[in-house]
Amino acid sequence: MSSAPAARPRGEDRLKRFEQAWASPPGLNGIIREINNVPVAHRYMATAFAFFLAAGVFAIVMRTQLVRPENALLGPQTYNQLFTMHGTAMMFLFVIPFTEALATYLLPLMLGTRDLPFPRLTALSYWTFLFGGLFIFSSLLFGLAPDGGWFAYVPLTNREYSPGLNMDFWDIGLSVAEIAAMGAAAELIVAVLRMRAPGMALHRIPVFAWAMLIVAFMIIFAFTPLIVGTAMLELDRKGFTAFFKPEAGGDPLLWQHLFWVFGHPEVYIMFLPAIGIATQVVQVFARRPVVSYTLVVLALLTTAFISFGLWVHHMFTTGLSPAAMGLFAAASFLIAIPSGIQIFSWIATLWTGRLVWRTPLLFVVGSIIIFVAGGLTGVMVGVPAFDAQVHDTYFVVAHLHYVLIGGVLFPLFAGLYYWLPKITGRMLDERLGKWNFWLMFVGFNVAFFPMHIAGLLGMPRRVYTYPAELGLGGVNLVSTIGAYVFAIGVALLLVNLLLSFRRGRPAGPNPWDADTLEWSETSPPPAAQFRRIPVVRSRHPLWEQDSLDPQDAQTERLLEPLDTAPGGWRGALVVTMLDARPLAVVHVPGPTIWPFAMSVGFLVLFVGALLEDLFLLGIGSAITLGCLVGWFWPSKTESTALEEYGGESGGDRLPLAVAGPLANGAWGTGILLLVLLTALVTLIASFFYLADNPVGRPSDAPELGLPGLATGVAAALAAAGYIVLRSAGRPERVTRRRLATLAVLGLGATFITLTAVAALNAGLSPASSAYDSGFVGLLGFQWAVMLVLLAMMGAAALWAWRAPRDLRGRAVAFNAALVALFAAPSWVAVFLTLYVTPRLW
Amino acid sequence: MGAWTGRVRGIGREPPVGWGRLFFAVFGAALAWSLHLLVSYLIIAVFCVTGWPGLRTALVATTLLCAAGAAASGVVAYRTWRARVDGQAWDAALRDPHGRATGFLLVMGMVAAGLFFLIILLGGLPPFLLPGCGPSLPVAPAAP
Repeated sequence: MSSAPAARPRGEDRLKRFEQAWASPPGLNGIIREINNVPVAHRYMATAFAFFLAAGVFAIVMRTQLVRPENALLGPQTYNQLFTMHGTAMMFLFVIPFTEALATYLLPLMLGTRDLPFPRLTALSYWTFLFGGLFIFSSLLFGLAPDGGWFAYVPLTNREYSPGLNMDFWDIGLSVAEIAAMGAAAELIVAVLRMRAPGMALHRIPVFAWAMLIVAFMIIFAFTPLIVGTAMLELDRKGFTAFFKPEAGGDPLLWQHLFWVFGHPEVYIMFLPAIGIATQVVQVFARRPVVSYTLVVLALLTTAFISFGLWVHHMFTTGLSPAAMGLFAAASFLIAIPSGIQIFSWIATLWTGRLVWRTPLLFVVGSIIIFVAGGLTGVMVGVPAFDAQVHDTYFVVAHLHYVLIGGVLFPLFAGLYYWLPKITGRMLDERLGKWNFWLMFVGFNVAFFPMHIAGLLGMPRRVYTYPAELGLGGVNLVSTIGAYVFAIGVALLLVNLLLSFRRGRPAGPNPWDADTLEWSETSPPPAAQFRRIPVVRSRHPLWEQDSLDPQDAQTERLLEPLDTAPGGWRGALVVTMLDARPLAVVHVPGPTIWPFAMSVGFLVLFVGALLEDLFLLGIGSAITLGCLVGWFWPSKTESTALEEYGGESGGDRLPLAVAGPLANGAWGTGILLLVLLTALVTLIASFFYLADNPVGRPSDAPELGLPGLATGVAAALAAAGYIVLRSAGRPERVTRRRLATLAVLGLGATFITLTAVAALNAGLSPASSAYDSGFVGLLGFQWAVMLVLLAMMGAAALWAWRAPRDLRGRAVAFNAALVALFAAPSWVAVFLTLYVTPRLW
Repeated sequence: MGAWTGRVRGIGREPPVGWGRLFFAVFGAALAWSLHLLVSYLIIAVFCVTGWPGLRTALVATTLLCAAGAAASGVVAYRTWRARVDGQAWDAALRDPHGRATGFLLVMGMVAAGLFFLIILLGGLPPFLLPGCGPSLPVAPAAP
């Protein structure tokens, strides 16, 4: 077994400077400004866990209400609020943020790097998540908690049937939590693809890292439609649009499509990280590599793809044709194949391993048992005929909790027991852990198994009580007893944690004799983790490598500048995507106020949007814009890094990747474009869905003149953008870059003017026509893209004039050019959708 | 992309087989399945709304085309893998420390192609077993 690569004997001064570069500022200032993955992940996990406990309390109160027929503990309105808040908090404020937080903490350690690629985004995600979560929970203080279900079906959630601010709290708060999740996802994608230890080729990365990589892509593709959908819902509620209003040609089913296109992958977004955790635990406690790593990774990938093709099975009772239902039922059955591969891989690993029965393994085995039961009922509800019988009954409640608690919560608890010693430096009590497991396992089954029976007997879900004559009192009493036992089990984790903090045995670097890199560092790891970059030659480096030091002269030489270095700034390594060969050094931003300040700006914006207060909206926008300027203002540490590396290098020395395709910033821009593309596809699909309805659809196709001209302008803008892209890579082509950036700015402004005049001439009425709502939605999207482009290109132009050869300015130009190259084809798609296809109907 | 410099000598560009080819080999079958699902759903919607004849034929044609796409992805993965790692044991790409990530991805692409090929064919079965358009659930009679 190997440990962290030994740092070479260096001067005290060099080590001190290195550690100082990674140290957090002290006190409150440090809490607000620190952006390093470890402290931010601590807070992220603690906050998400607090939301979990609150949502769990709601569940217990609901079960207490249902303990006997016609109970009067809660009224229907309060019950509606509780089940909405329970689902919303568990889904959006606990599971996804918690797994992302765990990954934020673990991935740099597991991958052998020092931080995530965009630490400011990590901090922004956290603060935004915190404020968004508190925003939703604050509704309880005003008696205005969301009450339309975590799925917020329209027309129930339209202003007409939900006139209070309850669903506005849900809609706005949720959008914020989604944005935080997407920020974290972007981070994780770039981290796994680019910031690994040398030698950690794709076939050697831990399964948990694979799972998080795939999940991060899923978040990008699944959350974007939900953000579009919640924006539509909020605009409808405010009376600006009519997307979901049938009397204006809108369609409530469009909401269901948008929600479930997100909602079903969401189940797997929660489940795949759990698979990653379970796989890490299984192989460590079976003392052998997981059986068929390749098939497990393939199963993760296949599950991710198929999960996007199942959304319609949530809509089997909405009146689909048999052919459509057959198609989606088949897809629903077939996802059992990759899930089965994962389960059989674990069973084979456990079967052939030397088992060490510690608490993490108990939770994983419990998870397998419960999840398989939940998976089987999942196949049952995938049958349309059966689904029609049990739809909206407690059978579905039982099914989804078997899947989510068995498939997600138990592995998360396994992960906590497994990694908490690394995080806190102290072991948890094993006996309490086993009590914790058994109480949760027994309590869970006592609570949720009877719900299958209640559902089959016809008990509908989301009702605050039931009459005694239905004969459901017995099963509900048993369920409530089980829920209390389960809650006691959860409480034992807190007791165990407290005891561990007070008198837990020191964990040491690798208490489980585990195989992955995080266990090569001290527990807890130092702020300046991996003084020397580890080199990986195996899938299980701590089991199969004698040392984590480089074994060849070239790697040794390339990594030497990162050996307890750099000093005055935070530096990390980026590697090639497939084989993880050293590629460049990157500057990692240090402590800063801007992520926190920007999230405060967001909070003011949410409150302004909730209260429809223009003053607050103005203040929030001003704070956010100010923070954006501060965020992108050149930092001193990056200047120091540039001075040390002297701009571009290469040859026999790793360059400093600041700009161009080597830089993380370009990858971040690529992910932004992926989000924009997904939003564009969602809006186009929604437009066609609404356009199918003749109500509110204009009889004449819109005028082609000005939009046609705008298309020519967009083509010219793309050409100018391409010139910016090319010239950004050549420092000597300053004039060309200056002129091209100005051209993009001019063409962008012209484009917005032309399309705005065309829209005004068309006399659109989005408040009373769903067709016009879709029309304005697409135009609004295109304008938003153009405004982002103008802001970025404006910054690039400033750089081109003030410091034309500076790599940071060329990086801005390069990234802005990528947006320009997206904006033009995006407009072509919008133009064809809005202006050309109506001529074909 | 311009003349961005800074690549270290000896660190070759990835992948050795070309990004487009590798992407199709790994993700081609999965994308063929996605296409099959979406196009079939669209065909069902269009044929059921317009009342056009030939729904089953259109669905079968879609299934066969997409299955062919998945198979093609598998063939590309196999041929590329043969070209890169032929002469070694079939799982050479998977064993440490000899393997390279490209071989691993190609083997994954081959298995994925087989899996999605079958899934597409199975997904194409329902039109043979179920009626096409029309109400999916029995409509309850109006309450007296």
